Amino acid sequence: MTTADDTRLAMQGTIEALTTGDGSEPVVVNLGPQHPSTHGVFRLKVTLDGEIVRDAEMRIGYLHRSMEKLAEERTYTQNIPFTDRIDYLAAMSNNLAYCLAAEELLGVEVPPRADAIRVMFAELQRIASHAMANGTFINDCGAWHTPLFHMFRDRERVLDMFEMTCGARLTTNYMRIGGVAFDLPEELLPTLESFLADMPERIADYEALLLENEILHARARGVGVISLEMAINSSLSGPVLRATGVPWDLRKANPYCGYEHYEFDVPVGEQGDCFDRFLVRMAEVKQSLRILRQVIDHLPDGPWLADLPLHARPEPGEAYQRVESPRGELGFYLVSDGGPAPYRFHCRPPSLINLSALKEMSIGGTLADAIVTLGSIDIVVGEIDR
Amino acid sequence: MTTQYDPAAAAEIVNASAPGAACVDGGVLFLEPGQLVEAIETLRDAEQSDLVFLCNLTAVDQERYFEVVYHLQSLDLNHIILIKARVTDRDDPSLPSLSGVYHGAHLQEREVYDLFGIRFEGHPDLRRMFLWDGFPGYPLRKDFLQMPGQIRAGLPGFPHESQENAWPVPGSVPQRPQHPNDPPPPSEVTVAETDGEGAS
Amino acid sequence: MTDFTGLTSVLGAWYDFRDLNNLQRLITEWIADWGPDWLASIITGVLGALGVLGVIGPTLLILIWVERKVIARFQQRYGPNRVGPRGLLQPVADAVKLILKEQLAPRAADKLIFFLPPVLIFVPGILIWGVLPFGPRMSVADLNVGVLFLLAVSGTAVLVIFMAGWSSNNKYALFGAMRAVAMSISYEVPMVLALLTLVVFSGTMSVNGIVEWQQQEDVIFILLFPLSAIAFFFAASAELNRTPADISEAESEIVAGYHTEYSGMRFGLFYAVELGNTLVVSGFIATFFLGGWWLWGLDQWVPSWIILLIKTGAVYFLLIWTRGTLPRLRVDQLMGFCWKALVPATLLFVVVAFVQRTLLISEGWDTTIALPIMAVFNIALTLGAIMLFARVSRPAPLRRPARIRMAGAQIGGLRAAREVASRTEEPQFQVGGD
Repeated sequence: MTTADDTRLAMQGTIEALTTGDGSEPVVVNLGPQHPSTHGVFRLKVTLDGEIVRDAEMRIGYLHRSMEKLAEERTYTQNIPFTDRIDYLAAMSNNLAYCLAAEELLGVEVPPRADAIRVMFAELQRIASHAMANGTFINDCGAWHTPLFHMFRDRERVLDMFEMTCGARLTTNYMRIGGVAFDLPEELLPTLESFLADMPERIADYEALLLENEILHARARGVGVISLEMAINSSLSGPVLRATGVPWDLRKANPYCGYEHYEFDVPVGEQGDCFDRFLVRMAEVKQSLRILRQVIDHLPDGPWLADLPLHARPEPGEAYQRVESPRGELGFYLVSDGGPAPYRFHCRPPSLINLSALKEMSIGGTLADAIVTLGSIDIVVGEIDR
Repeated sequence: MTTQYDPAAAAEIVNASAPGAACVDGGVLFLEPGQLVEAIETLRDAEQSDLVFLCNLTAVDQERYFEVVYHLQSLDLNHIILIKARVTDRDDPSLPSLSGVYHGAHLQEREVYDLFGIRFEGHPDLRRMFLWDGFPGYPLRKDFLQMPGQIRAGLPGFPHESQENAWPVPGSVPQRPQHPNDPPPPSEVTVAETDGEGAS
Repeated sequence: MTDFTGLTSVLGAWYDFRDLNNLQRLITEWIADWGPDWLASIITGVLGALGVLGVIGPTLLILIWVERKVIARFQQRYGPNRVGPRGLLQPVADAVKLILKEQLAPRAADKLIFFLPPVLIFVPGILIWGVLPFGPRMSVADLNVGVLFLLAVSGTAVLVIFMAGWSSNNKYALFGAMRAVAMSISYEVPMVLALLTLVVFSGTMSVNGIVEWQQQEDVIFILLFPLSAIAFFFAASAELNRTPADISEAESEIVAGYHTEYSGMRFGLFYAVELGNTLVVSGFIATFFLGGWWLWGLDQWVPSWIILLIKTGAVYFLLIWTRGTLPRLRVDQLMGFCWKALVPATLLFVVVAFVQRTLLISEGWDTTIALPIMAVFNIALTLGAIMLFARVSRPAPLRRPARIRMAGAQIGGLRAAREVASRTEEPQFQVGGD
């Protein structure tokens, strides 16, 4: 892709101008595990030549809870709360992906109302998660928390809706195998309506504040660039992949929960830099609002949970189901041996796999660029380490 | 909608360039470990298969052997295929690394190495990822921290159920279809060690 | 001075300090009859320091509250509202907490040099107040080289910062210190040049003289030399380590920069001085460019120090505003902005000031007519310079707009991506670019 190449060349010009080349010794700096910008306990070990990153290596595992092993000792239903804790900023999407995989193993039909409710909460979760991602990204660019707090307000409203539906805000544990745990409470739809009514104005505010901000452009444009081919080869997914221009969205490519009935678009970037990732997320929030509007308008009646024996044992077999979580392709690979618990429980964590290209993205940039790049990938350490 | 890519077609492509590298068993494409890298590279580059995206790479401990599971996806043709490779040597399991074919395999192979102890030959940076260097054992193996009395990992039954039908009795454990790569049937001793009819 | 005895009975009660005039001169004159000169210096020094401390101590406590409250309002939060009425006592509670906290020092730190900076940083922080005029000649020391003194003193702070960063034996601190040194030295240049413009034009190096010149000519310098004002504002915010130029303590990159290893009240001292410096720099910006204690005759009615404080508050609010709104620039961008934009631009205005001053003197133009014309000319020149810089200096990645397209029916990989990218119709939206 010529645009990405151009950007990279322009970057290199800056780098060469900055490098002294006097053979001075590089400095190794550990960013993290406790660091304001690593979004949890994540450690990035960078080798610096002055301010230029010569090598970047990530050290992870500080939040490893061995969920995949623990899940082998719990029944399929008991494993749902674990999935909340994998990606605690998008618990609904994780619930959904796991339940889809378990449903495939058990061969359960999900009632249409449950599907609609699942789509509703998955999209609300996407709005909340993108609000957080974009807010912290601007923070990593050095803003003094202002956009973060503004975006937190929207996230709060989403979390309030989660709370009134299932009683929890972060670790929702709302989806069940065969549907969702509770029907929508009465007060949810009016709240959602007012949320949908307010959001366009809020998004316009953010766009006015951020999109034409020259400093933000200077910090994020041409930074952390990754080419299209490299992105696909590195198994990147989600906004990071779409920012390079690949129109790959599992909601379109492999519709689940009836996403094929909703009208929405897949925004793609062009240059694969940090700013494009930010823009893609901003655009995706708008698409999520579009989907939510359609979900409310066509919310079917009926049961919200399939009639399923509590102690269902799936037939021996395996299932791989994935959803488009806010961070990318979130898959669950379950293997059953006919027992009450999964024989093998594997989560394909988009946060971890999106980091595959972190080194390539950050080498050659400055230390500040590496931070911005890390912020734009939008990692959740709970999901990386599991 | 993503379709399943026909494993027979994939096997044909692979076998055309590397005879005997692939075989289909129970709707799953099995690849010969020795020719894994070439086979997957062929599948990635071939026009009809175009499996450019490594969705998922993980392993399953099947007690007698390890199964390394690859989910490969074609973005443009929108099909996905499940590919497996078996590692029979439990003491020193190793498999060729895909990191030269897919850059995205780097971290996933490291994770499998960390939790299963399967070495990926040719991986440029094969170190433990979540656990520290020198961590004893590989936690996702079924025999990790095996307790005395043959209590094995996994949930024997639903909590309220009686122990009679707790674990599937030995022999009723689903057996994979016989495969050329399969190890010879386990000896009596191994069965006695690994079957777990509850605590005796 | 104008006779304001009549007013004093109405307004100029206890809070009108104009009679104090210049402290040093007052005391020197008083001592001159019976004592040596050095005694006057010591007494004025001690009194001045006590006075400054007495003023800035409480002001700082309030300012912490103000800054937190204002920032909170920018961020749609309440800000501190628990301790005391409207959270006013929050800074006190914070100070108590900081004092009670354990003072940690890294084992490998250079102990003596590590302990000194929190104390030493106070020296320039307080000295700099000495030349700030709160009224006609109402400063601790009305030096006739006040501008030079200001620049010299503010330049020493970087030494202390480097001591702190070096002795901490911490890489973040070292990075912060190196960045601070590089930045301070760079930004000193446009700062000096911006002030040189004023000095050249008003013909005095006394801070009070500059204010009096503005009073005499009925004009404030921001109208005459807007670019110098902008340059000085930005350079000052860089020297103060405030966003968008807070790279030496960039939280998201190097944690806290040079004071990463300082805990408890040692950190509190750095913080306090930083806040105090912000206030005094706001005061100097108000003095140099907004007319200081003078406000088109209003200073006859309202005590001059109140006028200065209001102007200072306005500038301070602007500083909080930029901090609350803008992201941070990168090191190379900040340096590039200084050397490629601010230095040439301020240099240009030094030349402009020379020419205009010469014209005023040699041609004997009437200032009431000549100054407005010059102001209009300079404002136009400033706008032109800014636009020229924005056009010329844009880095390559920013030249092209960032585009977001909608994939539509195209879903897939490389092929679909190429098809989406090759579409000729307008993308969904695009931002930036030339």
